[in-house]
Amino acid sequence: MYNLFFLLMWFGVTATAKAQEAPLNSDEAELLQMYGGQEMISVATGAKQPVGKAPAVTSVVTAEDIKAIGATDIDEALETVPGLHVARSKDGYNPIYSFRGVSSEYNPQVLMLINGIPITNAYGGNRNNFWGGMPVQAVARIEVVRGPGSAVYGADAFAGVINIITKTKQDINGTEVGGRVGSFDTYDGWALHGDTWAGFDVAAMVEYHDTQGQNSIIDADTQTNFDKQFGTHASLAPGPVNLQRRNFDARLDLSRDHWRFRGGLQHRGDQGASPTSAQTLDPNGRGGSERWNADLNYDNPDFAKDWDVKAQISYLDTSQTTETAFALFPPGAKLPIDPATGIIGGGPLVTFPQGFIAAPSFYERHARFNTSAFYTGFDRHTLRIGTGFNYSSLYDVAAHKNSGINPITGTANPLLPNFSVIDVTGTPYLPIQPVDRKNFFAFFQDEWKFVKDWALTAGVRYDNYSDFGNTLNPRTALVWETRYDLTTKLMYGSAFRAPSFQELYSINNPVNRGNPGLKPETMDTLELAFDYRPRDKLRLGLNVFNYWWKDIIRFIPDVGAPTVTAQNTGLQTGYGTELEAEWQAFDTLKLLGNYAFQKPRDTTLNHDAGNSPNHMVYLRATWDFMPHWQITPQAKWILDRSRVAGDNRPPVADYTWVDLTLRRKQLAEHWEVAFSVRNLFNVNAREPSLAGRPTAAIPNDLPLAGRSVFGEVRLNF
Amino acid sequence: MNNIITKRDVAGPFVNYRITVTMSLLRTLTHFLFVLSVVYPAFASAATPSVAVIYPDVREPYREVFMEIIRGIETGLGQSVKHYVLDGDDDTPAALSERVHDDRVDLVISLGRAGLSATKQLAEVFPVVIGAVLISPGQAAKGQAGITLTPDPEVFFERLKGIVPNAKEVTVIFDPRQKAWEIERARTAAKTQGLTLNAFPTEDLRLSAELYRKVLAQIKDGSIAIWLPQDNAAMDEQALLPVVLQEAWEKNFIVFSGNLDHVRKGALFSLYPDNFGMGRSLAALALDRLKNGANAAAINPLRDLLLAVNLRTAEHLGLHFPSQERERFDLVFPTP
Repeated sequence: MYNLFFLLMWFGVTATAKAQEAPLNSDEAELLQMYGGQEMISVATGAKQPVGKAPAVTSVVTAEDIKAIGATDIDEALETVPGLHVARSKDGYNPIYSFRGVSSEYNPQVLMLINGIPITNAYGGNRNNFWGGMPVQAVARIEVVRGPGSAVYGADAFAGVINIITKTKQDINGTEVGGRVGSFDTYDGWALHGDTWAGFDVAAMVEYHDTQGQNSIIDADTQTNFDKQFGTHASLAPGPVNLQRRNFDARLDLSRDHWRFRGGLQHRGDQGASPTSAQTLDPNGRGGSERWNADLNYDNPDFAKDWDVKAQISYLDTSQTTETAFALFPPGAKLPIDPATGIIGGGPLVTFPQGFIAAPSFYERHARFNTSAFYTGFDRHTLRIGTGFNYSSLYDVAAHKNSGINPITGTANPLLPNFSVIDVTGTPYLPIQPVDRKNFFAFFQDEWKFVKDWALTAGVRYDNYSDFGNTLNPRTALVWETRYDLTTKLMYGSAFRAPSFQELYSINNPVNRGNPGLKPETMDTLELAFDYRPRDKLRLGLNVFNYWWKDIIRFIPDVGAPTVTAQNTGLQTGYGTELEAEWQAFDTLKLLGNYAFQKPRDTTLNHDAGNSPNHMVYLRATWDFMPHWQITPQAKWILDRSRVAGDNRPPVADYTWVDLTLRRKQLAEHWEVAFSVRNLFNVNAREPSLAGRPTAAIPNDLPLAGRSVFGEVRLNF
Repeated sequence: MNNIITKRDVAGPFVNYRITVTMSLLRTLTHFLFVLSVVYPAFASAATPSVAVIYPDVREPYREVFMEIIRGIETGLGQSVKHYVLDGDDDTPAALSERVHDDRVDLVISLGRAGLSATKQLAEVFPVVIGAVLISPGQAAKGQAGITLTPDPEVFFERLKGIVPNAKEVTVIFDPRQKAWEIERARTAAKTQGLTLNAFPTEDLRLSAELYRKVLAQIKDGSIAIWLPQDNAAMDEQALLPVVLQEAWEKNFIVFSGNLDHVRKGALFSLYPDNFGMGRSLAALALDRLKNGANAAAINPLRDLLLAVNLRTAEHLGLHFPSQERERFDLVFPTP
């Protein structure tokens, strides 16, 4: 009966498929038959690298997926991962990668890696306040692990790990030049070249991005409140956000035998960041950042009998700078200034004719060394050991401002007559002094196939930090090859999130005082996962999880003092489930979808943790409807976002975001053109703004862009 | 040539002697160079013949297969080859003949079905070696040398014994219209490896399904291996293969295949073409053909093969491979 049904399905499928298949000449057909698919041919000829085995449940977004969905930034690619939502921070709409309801303003609970190397900025624990986005033409694939990964990756592999793998010579194989024009005055250009030279495989990639950014309106900001309170008219709200930027990315990848060298630059400039960190509009401030990276890698799967050895040394120089000072409160603002500190507090009202100016810059360098090895000498065991050393240094801090203490007079700057912007670089009045951190780690893991179809993995990592001490993070996984078409995994992991330099050492800001005694945040996660492939072309996945997030670092008002200091004080637990399906319905039609449910709860306040969607649905179809033509509609539903405890605003409105991308490949053999519409139905989508007392500073949340389009051309030769 | 007669000549006999010696030296040198100029090209062409490779105009990723083969041919010959791409213009046998003559080509290697049909006429009068095409020895013209894409059953059985030393029987259900010669060769190969070959011919897809059900019902343990030869009309990929692979998992017997994708789906191992190696073998065949003529020419099955293994299936069957053995796997599955 089952077979008959299947036979009928087969007839239906092949009948439709034949109508839509691209005509193959007889040789292509013969090769296709022999290898069993185009994918297999690419893998067999080495044109495509099969993705390696991952330690946990991994979602992979490939370069093909990225092109199909018309993503121009990694955020769009990441939004397609089940359980992950890319929310926006009030700080110039910096991305907040919210996994399973673990969300915070600076988002240090997510570890982002480029080629396995963390790009964390120690100051904020995030990726930089002038992150500026990351383009996708140089990306071969993005691997996302939901849940804890500290047993392998160490700090901040907490709510999730995002590993962006860049292209190598094999991925490019030739030259590609492309350009894109889109809404909001967006101009992109890129060139990729993969070749051999003097025995090396070389890949060189450059990308350029210039945009005025979207211009949705913020109705009211913090200054609007202050205007009401102090009778001023300084607020620039209602007014548009400023998310303009000019980005340049360059990468070089050289490899030969067991060695690979990479070097790269991510330059972000002329970046608008309005709303500002004070939740006010400032169309004039500009920031920028630079990330220079270099790494040398050794990878020898046949290092010795039964030994597969890797080693890596890397250097990252990352800076965030203010190019044009930000007015955290606009010109004409009147603010009460505390005479003792020179910043906003109890005291006389002072008018700021230039605005409340702040222009900090932070310079960091990170040097890392690590080595790891797989040992397979013991029958049925696969051992993995590793060790390494990381050095992170905030080596320079610069700041210009017109608030705070004037270093020359030692008194509150705004209370001086004709006060101006002062340079506090090199003085004790910086927001933070240069500081560094050393981290040594070692890990051990064993995968033991103790019985047929069962494997037990147990591992632990030890980290020693020069500032906050030691932490031990174990993980364990039980994998059961249940059936021919079903694999079941039960996993437990413990992870830690290192306190950022800001949380530890922030000074001169009484409402943001650092606490050198902070401990890391910790998270324990228990997860059950099923991978079910009832047909060759259909894959289903189901995950059920529960996490306990402890010692959450929050800025808490001190008892008996008007100050606010970072403390390990929060508790959040969450449970939920993710369901995903991937179906190659026909040769020319692929369907993909996922559903995520999460219930994050702030345990201390006994309230929904807030801000993250309790339900998310994602659907996409990639349809090669005619030879060389491809259309990809995708839709994401963001549903049920509560507010944090104490925020009396109505829940954040649900939204449905739809994109559509049309692509024509192999035009005159070498050209490819595409056209894409983002937010096709022009919905009024918003991401939650911070709560506030007595009301939220930006009451109507952060509006996302309305409908936008782009056209793209690329040439391959 | 310089006039080396100097004013001194008038002067005396010493000078005259020098002139004589130099002149005769120069004469010898010129003679030598002349001889060399005639003989050298003959040497050159005898050492490295001029070879042209004819192949179809295909898109990626298929193109990379042909490029790999050509790289192998060039390595085997020690020199680069002329590329004749069959892209539609000037593909007639007459045009080809002319081109071969104009370019002073000694031998043509044709790749693919398109290459085979393009060189059909040429092969009657000119040395042609065929490759990268599914062809049985009976289908080729007399005196034609080449390598078919069908893997040599000998290699299959060698690998089977290597991976699963306990294997005793191999069962294959095949369509005799294409596979008869391959199965004949397999019978001989099985004997050499100490395996029993159960070969069931069937020309009907529905009958093959019944045959499979019978075979599967009779399987009791892992000493039987089911062989899925490449391009077999007797295997229904959509309906039958998943059933066979599922039974293989549940009853712990081996399925090995000539189709790489079957390993991804769960077959224990597969052999797939080593395109570079195939190219080198074609080059060797070409040199041999030029040296020994058309008498010993024959179509051989493919022995340049790479090994793909499904480790999940292997683990399930209780096969544990030490790392040196795993190094010999060219491709492993699964990949997530």
